[in-house]
Amino acid sequence: MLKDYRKKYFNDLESSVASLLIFCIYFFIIGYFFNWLIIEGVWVGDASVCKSSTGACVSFLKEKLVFILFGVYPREFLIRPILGIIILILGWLHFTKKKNWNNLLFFKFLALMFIYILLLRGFNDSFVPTSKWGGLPLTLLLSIVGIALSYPVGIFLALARTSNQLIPRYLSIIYIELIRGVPLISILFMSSVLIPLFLPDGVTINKLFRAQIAIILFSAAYFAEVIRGGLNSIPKGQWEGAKSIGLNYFQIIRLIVLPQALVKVIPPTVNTIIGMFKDTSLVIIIALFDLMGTTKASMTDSKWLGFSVEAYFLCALIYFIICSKMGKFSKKVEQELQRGH
Amino acid sequence: MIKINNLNKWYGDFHVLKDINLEIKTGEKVVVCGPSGSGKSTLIRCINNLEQYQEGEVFVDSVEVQDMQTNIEKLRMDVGMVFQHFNLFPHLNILENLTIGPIKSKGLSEDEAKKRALNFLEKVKILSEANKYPDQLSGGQKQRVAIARTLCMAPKIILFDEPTSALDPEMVKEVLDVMMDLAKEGMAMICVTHEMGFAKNVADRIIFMDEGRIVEDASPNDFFENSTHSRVREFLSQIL
Amino acid sequence: MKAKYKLSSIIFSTTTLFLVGGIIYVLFSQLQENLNTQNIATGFSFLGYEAGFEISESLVDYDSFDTYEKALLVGFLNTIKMAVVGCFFAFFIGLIFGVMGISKKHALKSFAENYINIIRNIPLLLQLFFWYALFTDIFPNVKEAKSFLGVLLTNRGFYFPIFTSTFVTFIFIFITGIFLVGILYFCLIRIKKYKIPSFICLNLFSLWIITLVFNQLFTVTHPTLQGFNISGGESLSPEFCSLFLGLTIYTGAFMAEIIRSGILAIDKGQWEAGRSIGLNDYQLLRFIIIPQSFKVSLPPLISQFLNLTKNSSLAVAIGYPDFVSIANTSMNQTGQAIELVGLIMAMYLSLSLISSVTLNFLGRSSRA
Repeated sequence: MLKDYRKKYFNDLESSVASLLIFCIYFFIIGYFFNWLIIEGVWVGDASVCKSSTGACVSFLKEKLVFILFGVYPREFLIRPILGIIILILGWLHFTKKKNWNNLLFFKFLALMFIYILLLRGFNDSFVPTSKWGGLPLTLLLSIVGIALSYPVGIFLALARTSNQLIPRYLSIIYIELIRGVPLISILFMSSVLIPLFLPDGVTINKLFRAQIAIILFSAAYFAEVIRGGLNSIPKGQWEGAKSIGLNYFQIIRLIVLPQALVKVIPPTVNTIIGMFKDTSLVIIIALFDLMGTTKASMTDSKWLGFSVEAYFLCALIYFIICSKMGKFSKKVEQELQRGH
Repeated sequence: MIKINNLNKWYGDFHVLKDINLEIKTGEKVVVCGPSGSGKSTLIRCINNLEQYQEGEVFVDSVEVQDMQTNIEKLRMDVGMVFQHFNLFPHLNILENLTIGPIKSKGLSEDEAKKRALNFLEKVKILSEANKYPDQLSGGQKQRVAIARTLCMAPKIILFDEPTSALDPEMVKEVLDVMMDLAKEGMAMICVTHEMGFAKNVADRIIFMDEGRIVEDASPNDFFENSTHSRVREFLSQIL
Repeated sequence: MKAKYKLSSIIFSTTTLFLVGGIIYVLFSQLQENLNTQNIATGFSFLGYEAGFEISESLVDYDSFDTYEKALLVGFLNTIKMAVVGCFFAFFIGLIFGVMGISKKHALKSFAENYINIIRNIPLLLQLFFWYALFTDIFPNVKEAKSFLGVLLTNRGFYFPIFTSTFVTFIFIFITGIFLVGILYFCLIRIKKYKIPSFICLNLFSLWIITLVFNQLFTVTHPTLQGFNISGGESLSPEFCSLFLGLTIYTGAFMAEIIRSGILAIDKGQWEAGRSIGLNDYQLLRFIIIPQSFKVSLPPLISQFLNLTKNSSLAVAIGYPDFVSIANTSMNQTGQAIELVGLIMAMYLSLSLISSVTLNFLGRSSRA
C-alpha cells in the first residue's frame, strides 16, 4: 500500500515537489485549525474565558447549538422536529435505492412531506405556529415542499415548451426565460411585497407561504430546463414506435417518454436540488429564520459577541454534510447511467 | 384497402414524393424498392401519418389519413409498422413491450394481453426471452420482438421500413423467415427492402421508385425478367 | 381537409389562453383596487424625487440631494463593476483549478477537487457572511491597522498606495509597458529556450520594472493614519472585498468544474496526436486542447457569468450598494415596490438577453 502512495504522489521530481508543496499547505491549514479548535479551544467556560483566549469558543457553540438548529421552536416539543429530521433521513435512504423506483415514488414523497409538516405543526394543545418554526427544520421544509411542488410544475412547463402547440409553448418560454433571467432575491422580494397587493381585503398569506411560493416558482423554471434536456434526448424512434402501436400523446408521454427522460437527467436534477437547498438560505433577507438566519441571530446575543467565525463554521459544516451527501448520490447515478445499468 | 391519390410531398423546397397513385387490395403483399433517397420510406410513413403530406389523399379502408376528424390512434392500430432501428422501449421488458399497446390503446385486460403476447412471442420463436430487457437481446432478436409487438395489435396490414438494413448478415435470415411465415399466413404487408430474394419469394407486386415517382409496378415475374424501364434494369444489375 | 392542427389541440390552446388571460385580469383588477385603497402611488415619477440617502461607494459623484434615478444609476454601475471584475477573476480561478483538476500530479488534482467540493457545497450567502465577518469583525480597527506589503488591513477596508498621476499619464505608462513587453516576448520566442509560461512571467517582471522606474518620476501616496482616519492612498471597502472574494471563489469553483469537463470531453486521440509531434503537456493544453474545449464549455461558462451577475444581488445582505440594494432602500422609502421590483427584473433580464443574443450570434445554443 505504501508503494501505491509513493507512485501516486512522488512519481517524479515535478510531482514530488508539487506534492510536498500541497502537503505543506494542508499541514498549515489543518495544523492551524487543530490548534484553534482543540489545543487553544475553549470547551468549558463562559464568554469572558473565550474572549481572553485566541482559540475557538466551543462553549459558545454548545450554548447556542439548540438555538442554531431549531430557532425559537418551543423546547418542550423539540422531539417533533428531531423526529421529522430522522424521518427525512430514512426517506432519503429509501428513495435513493434503485429498487424502490416505481410509479408510487412521488406519492410516497408527498406523504412524507405531509407527515413532516404535521409533525412541525402539531394539533390543539401542541400546536406550534409557523412563526416559531426555524433553523434546520425550516430549511428542510422549504426545500422539500419546494421540490415536491415545483418538480411537477417543471415537468408541465417542459412538456409545454417542447410541444408543437403555439400557445402553451410561448407561454412556457416566456415564463422560463423570465424566471431564469432574474436573481432569486428579486423573486423573493416580489412575492414578499407584491403578493399581498394582489389579494382581496382580509385575505392574508403568511410570510413563510410567500417565501415558499417564490421558491416553488423559481425552481420550477430550472427543473423545466433540466427535464426539457431529458425530453429532447429521447430518440425520435421511441415516439414513432409508440405511435405505431396506437398510443396517443398523453399515453406516450406518461408511459414511454417521461420514464426514460426523467431517469436520464437524474444527475442534473440532483444538482438543481442541491442548488435549491442552498438557495433557501436567502430567506434571511426577508427576515425568515432558517438555518442561516438562526446562525446569524445567535451572533447578536450581547453576552456572546464576536464569535461569528465559530457560528459560521458550524453552519457551513451542516450544509456541507447534507449537500455533499446529495452530490455523492448524483455522481453514483451518473456513473451507473454511463455504464448502462 | 389502401388507396393513394395524387400524393405530393415536399421537404421545404425538395419535392420528395411526386404524383403518387397507388391502390393496395386486402391481403396483398407489396415490396417497394429503389435507390436511396427515392422516397420509399417517406411514402409508407405517409400511410400511418408519421409523415405529413401537402397534396393528395391517402385512404386506409376509406378513411382519409389527414382528415381532421380521423381518429389517428385507431387508424394506427390497424396499420402496424416495423422500423429499421426496432424502436423497442428500453425501460420495459419484452413482455411489457408487447402488452402495453393492447392494454392502453385497445383496452384489453392484462391477462388477455399477456396471453396474446406469449402466443406471438412463441410464433416468432423468442418465448424464452420474455422477461429480458431489449438491451440484452441481439439485433435479430430485437426485430423479431418488434414484429411480435405489431402483431399483438392485430393489424390489417403491416408496413416494414427496411427491417433488415440495420442487422448483421447472420441475423437477416431469421427475420426474413418470420416475415415469410407471416406472408404465407395471409398477412397483408408493404415492405420497403433491398432483399430481392425475399421479394421474389413473397411479393404479389413489386413497386420500383426513383426520385419520388413510381416507375414500375408489376408482378415479380414481370419485374425481374421483363422490365422495360432502363432505370429498373440498371438497379437490378447493380443489386443482383 | 389537410389538417395541420387537430381540432382538439386548437380547443386546448384557446382554453389555456383564456384561462391565463382570465387569471391575469382578475389579479390586476384586484391590484388596482388595493393600490387605490392603500393610497400607494404608481408610475415612475418618483424617479425624479430627491433620494435623501447616502451611498457608501460610487463610480460617479453622488450625494443625498440627487434623484432616485441617479441613485439607481449608481447602483447599476456598482453592479456592473462587480460583475466585470468578478467574471474576470472567477474565470481566472476557474482556469487554474480546472487545469489543476486534470493534472497528472495527484496532489494537485486532489487539492483542486477538494477545493471545488468544499466551495460548491456551502451556500454563497454563508461564504459572503464569512468573508464580511472576517473583514469587519476580525480585522483590527484603523488605529491598530496591520500592514502587509504596504497595504493596510483594517475593518474599514484595505488601504493601498497608488500613483497620483493623471489618467492620461497612466494610459501612457500602460501602453508603453505593453509595447516593451511585446518586444521582449518576441525576442525570447526567437531564442526558443523558454517552454514555461514565459509570457506571464515576462509581463509581471516588466510591469515591476516599469513601476520602479516611473516611481521616481511620479509621486505615490501611501495610506497613513491621521487622527481617526486614514488619508492618502486608495481603498477598497470591506463590502466590496467580501462580495468580490465570495463571488469569485464560489463561481470560480463552478467554472473550474466546467472547464475540467470540457477538457476531459476532448477525444484522447488529440492528446496522442499532439504528443506524437513532440508537444509537451503545457503546449498541448494551450494550443490544442483548451481551444477545442472552449467550444464545448462556452455556453455553460456564459451561464456562470450570468449566475455571477445575478448572485451579485446578494450584495443587499452585506451592504454593498449594488442595484438591488439601492432599489431595496428606495422601496422602503417610497413604497413603490411594483415599479422597483419591475426595474430590478428588467435590468437583469436585459443582461440575460444580451448574453443570449451574443451566444446565438456566435452560433452556439445558449442552453447547456
